[in-house]
Amino acid sequence: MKLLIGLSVLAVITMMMGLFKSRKIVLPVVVLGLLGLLYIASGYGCYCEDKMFGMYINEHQFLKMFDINKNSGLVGLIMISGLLITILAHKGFNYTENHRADMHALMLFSMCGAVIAVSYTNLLMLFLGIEIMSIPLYIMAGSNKHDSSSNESGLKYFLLGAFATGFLLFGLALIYGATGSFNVNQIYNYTHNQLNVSGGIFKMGIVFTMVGLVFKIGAAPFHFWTPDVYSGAPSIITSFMSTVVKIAGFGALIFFFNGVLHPMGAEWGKTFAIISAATMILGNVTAVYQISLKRMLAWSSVAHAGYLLMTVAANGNNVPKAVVLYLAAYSLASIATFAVLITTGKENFEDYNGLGKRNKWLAIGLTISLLSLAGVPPLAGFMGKYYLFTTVYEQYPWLVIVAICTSAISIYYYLKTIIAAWFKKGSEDAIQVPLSTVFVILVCILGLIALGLMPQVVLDLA
Amino acid sequence: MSEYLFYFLAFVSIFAALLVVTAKNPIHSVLFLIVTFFAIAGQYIILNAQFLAIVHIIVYAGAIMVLFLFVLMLLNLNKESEPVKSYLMKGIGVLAGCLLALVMVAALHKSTMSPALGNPNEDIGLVGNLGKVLFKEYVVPFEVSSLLFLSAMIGAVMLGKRDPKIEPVNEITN
Amino acid sequence: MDLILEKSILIIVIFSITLVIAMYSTYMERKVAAFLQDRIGPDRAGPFGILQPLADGGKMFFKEDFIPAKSERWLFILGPGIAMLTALMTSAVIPWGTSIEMFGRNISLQVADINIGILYVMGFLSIGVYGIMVGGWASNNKYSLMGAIRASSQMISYELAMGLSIIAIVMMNESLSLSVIAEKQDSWHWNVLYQPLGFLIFIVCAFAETNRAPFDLAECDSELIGGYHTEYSSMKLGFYLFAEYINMFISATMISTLYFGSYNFPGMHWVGDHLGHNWLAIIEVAVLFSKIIFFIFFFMWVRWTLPRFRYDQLMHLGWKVLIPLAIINMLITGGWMTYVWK
Repeated sequence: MKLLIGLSVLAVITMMMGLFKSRKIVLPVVVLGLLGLLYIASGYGCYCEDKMFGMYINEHQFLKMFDINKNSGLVGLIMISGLLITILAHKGFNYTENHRADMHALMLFSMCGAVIAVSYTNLLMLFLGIEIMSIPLYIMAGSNKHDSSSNESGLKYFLLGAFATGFLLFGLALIYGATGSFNVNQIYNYTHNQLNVSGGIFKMGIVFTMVGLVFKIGAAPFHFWTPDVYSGAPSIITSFMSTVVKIAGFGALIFFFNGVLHPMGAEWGKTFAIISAATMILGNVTAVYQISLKRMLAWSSVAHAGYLLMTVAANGNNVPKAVVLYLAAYSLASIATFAVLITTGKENFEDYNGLGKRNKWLAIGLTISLLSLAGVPPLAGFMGKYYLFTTVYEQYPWLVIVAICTSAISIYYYLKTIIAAWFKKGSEDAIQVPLSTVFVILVCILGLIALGLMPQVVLDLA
Repeated sequence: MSEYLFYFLAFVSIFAALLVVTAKNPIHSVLFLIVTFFAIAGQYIILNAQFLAIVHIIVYAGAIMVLFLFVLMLLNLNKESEPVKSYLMKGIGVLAGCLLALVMVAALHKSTMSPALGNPNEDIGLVGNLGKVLFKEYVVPFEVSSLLFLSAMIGAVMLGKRDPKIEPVNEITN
Repeated sequence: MDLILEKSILIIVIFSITLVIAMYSTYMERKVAAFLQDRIGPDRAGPFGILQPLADGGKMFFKEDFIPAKSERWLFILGPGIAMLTALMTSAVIPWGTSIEMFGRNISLQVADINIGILYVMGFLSIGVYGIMVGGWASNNKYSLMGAIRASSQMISYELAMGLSIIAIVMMNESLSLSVIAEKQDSWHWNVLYQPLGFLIFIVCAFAETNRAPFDLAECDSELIGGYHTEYSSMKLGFYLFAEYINMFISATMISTLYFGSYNFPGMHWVGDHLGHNWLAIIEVAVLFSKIIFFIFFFMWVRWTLPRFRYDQLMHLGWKVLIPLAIINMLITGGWMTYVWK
C-alpha cells in the first residue's frame, strides 16, 4: 500500500511539474522518487503484512516470490524495469518535448496499475489494476501525434484493448455470479471444495477471463494487435509495453490460474498448453520473415509469451521461481535492445549494418541482449529457459519439444541482427550515445551476465 | 408481473442491441443503443436498484451517448461512407458469434443458482445501502479508481492539445 | 385502488396546470417584453389579449404540416415528441405541497416520492437534449444541425456544473429525495441562505439548460435562422416551443424547490395552528406557485435585459468558471459540515 500511494503521489507531483514548465528537473525527480520507493518497498514497505480492509494484501504465499527484501519479486521487477525505462526516456521522449512531464506521469500511473495487477487479492482490484495499467498505455502508444503509425497503434490498441476488457469484466462478473465473492481466498475455497464447479456460469467466467488476460499478454489467438501496436508506438513506449506490461499481465494471469484456480488445473491446463504451443510457433516463425527490427522484436515478444505460458499450463508449485527468473532475463534484454533502437532511431535491419564500427557500446549491448533472448549460455536467457523447460517437462514433454524447436528457429533471426551489426558494411558515421543510455545498457548487460552465472540469487530468494 | 416485465425488457434490450449492429446509419445505431440502455435501466428498477438505474441513464444515455451522437453528427457518416466488407468476412463474423452464443447457451442452460450466493439483501440497491457498501467494504477500489480517471483525464488533455510546432500546417489542412 | 385513483387525478391536475402555465408563459413573455420595451403587447384577442395563446394554438394546428423531402422522416417526427415527453415527465417527482386531508384520507401532493428525486430530474434533463439533437439532425439542414450541436454541447457542459452545485445541496440535506429537501427548509431555513454560491451557479446553469437568453445560441436568429427547429412547422414546431416553456417552468420549480424553500414560508406553523391543515396546504401550494411565477418572470426579465453570449464565451464560462466554482463550493460545504456544523 505504501508503494502504491508513493507511486501515485509521485505521478501527481510529476503531472504538476508539467504545469509549472519545469521540464528540466522532471527526469531527476522521477528517478530519485522511484529509487526512494524501491528502497522503501524493499526495506520497510513490506506490504505483505499491510492489510487494508483485506483488499490489497499479499498474504497468498504464492506471490511471495523473488523476495529480495521480503517483497514480491514481480513488484520489484516492475519497479526496476520502470526505473531503467525512465532513465532511457531522457532521450526517448525527445519526440514529445512539450509533454515530457505528462508522459512521465502517465508512465507512473501505468506502473501503479501494474503493481496492483500483480498483487491483488480481490478480483475488483485485478480489473482496476489492468485498466489503470492499460489506459495510460493507449494514450502513450498514440502520443506521437504527427506520426500516423503511432496514431494507428494507439487507436488499434485502444479499440481492441477495450474489447478485451469487456471480455475480462464479463468473465469476472460471471465468476462473481457463481461464487458470490470477489475475494480470491473465497474463490479458492469454492474451487478447492468443488462447490458446484461444474456449473456453467463459473466455467464461462473462467473462459472469458482467460480471453481478457491472454489478450493483454498478447498470446495467440489474441496476438494480432501486438506487431502493429508494438511497431507503431514510439520505441520507448514499446519497451515499456514489452517489459512492465508483460510482467504485470503474467503476474495477474499466473496468480489467477495457478493460484486461485489451482485446484481446477485439470480443466484448463490443456487449453493453455495449446495456446502456448500456438503462440510459440506463430511468434517464432513469423519473426523470421520480418524486415524491421522493431517488428521482429514484437513477434519475438509474442514468442516469449508462449514460453512463459507453458508454466501456466504446467500449473506446478515451483513455477513462479522460473517465471521470475525468465521475466527478469527477458525484461533486461528487451530494455537493452530498445535502448539501442531509441538511440539510433532506426527500425529496419539494414540500418544496423556495421553498427559495430559506428558505436561499440551499442553493438555490444545489442549482441549480448539478443544472445540472451535467443537463450545462449551463459547468459540469463539460457538459465531462464533451462528452469522453465525443466519445470514443464514432467507434465508436457511435447510442449517442451515444441519450445526447443522454436527456440532453435529464434536463434536464426536473432543472429541475423548480430551478423548485420558486426560483419556487414553500412554507414560509417559515428553515433553519439548519451551517458544515460550507456548506463542503462551497462546495467542490463551486467544483470544478464550476473543472472546467467548465478541464477540461484533469484531462485533462492523466491 | 415483474417476470413478464423482465422478459419484455430483455426482449427489447436484445432486439435493440441487434439493431445497433445491423443498422446501416451510425446515428440510428446510437439511437438504438440508447433504447438498449433504457431497457437495462428498467431491469435495474425491477431489481429495486433505482439509484443504479438513474445513474445508468444519466451517465450512459445522458452523457456518453450524447457525445457519440455529437461526434457522429459532426463527421456526418452515412450509408455511403460505411466501408464495404466482403461477404466472406461478414459470414465469418456471424459464424464466430453464433458459435460463441452456442457455447454459452450449452454451458448455461443447465446451470442453477449457486448455493454460495445465499440470500442477497433485497434493499442493497437503494442509495443508502449502496453508499455504505461502497465506502466501507469497497473503499480501496473506490479510491484506486480515481487513479484511472486522473490518468484518463491527463491523456485526454494531452492528446487533445494542439502542439504548437506545426500548428500552421494543421490550420491549412483542416 | 383508491391510491391509483388519487394519483391519476393528481397526475391529470399537474399535467393540465403544467400545460396551462406553459401556454400562458408565451403570453406572459410577450407582455413582459412589451412592458420592458415600453409597448402594449398583444391586446386583440379577448380583454388584455388574454385569449392570445388559444389563438396561437389554433393557428399552429391549422398550418400545413410540412416534412422536408430529404429529411429522416421518422426521426423528424420523433424529435419534437422526445422533447415534449422528457419535459413533461419531470413534474412527477416534485412536491407541490405537503398533503391534503380529504374524504378521510391523507393525500400527498406529490405524484411519486422516490428516494432519488433529484437524480430523476437530472436524468430527464440530460435526456431532453435528444429531442433537439434528433430533430436538428433529421431536418437535413445546416442551420438545424449547427443549432442542434450547439445546444447539445452547451447542455452537456452546463449539466456538469449544475450537478456539482446540486451535490452541495444533497450533502447539506443528506438526502436525494426532493420531499425531504423541501421538508428540511422549514419556514425560513431556505437553502439559498446557506448556499448562495451554489444558487448562483445553479441559476446560471438553469438558463443554459433551458436554452434561454443569454444562452440561446441554439436558436440565435441572427446567425442560425431558427436553430434546430428551422425546418419545422405546424404543431411540431409548437411542440418544440411548448417543450421549451415547460422546461422553463420546471427550472423555475426546481430553483424554488431546491433553494427557495419549496412550499415553505415564514410563519407557516402559525398558519397551520390557526387555520387548519387543509388551509395550510392550499396556502403552501399558492406560495410555491407564486415563487415559480416570480422565477418565470425572472427568466423573461433576463431575456430582455442581457445580450447574447458569444459561443466561446459560453464555453469558457461553463468549463473554466462555473465548474471550478462549483467544486470549490462543494469543498467548502464539506469542510463546513465536517468541522463547523457538526
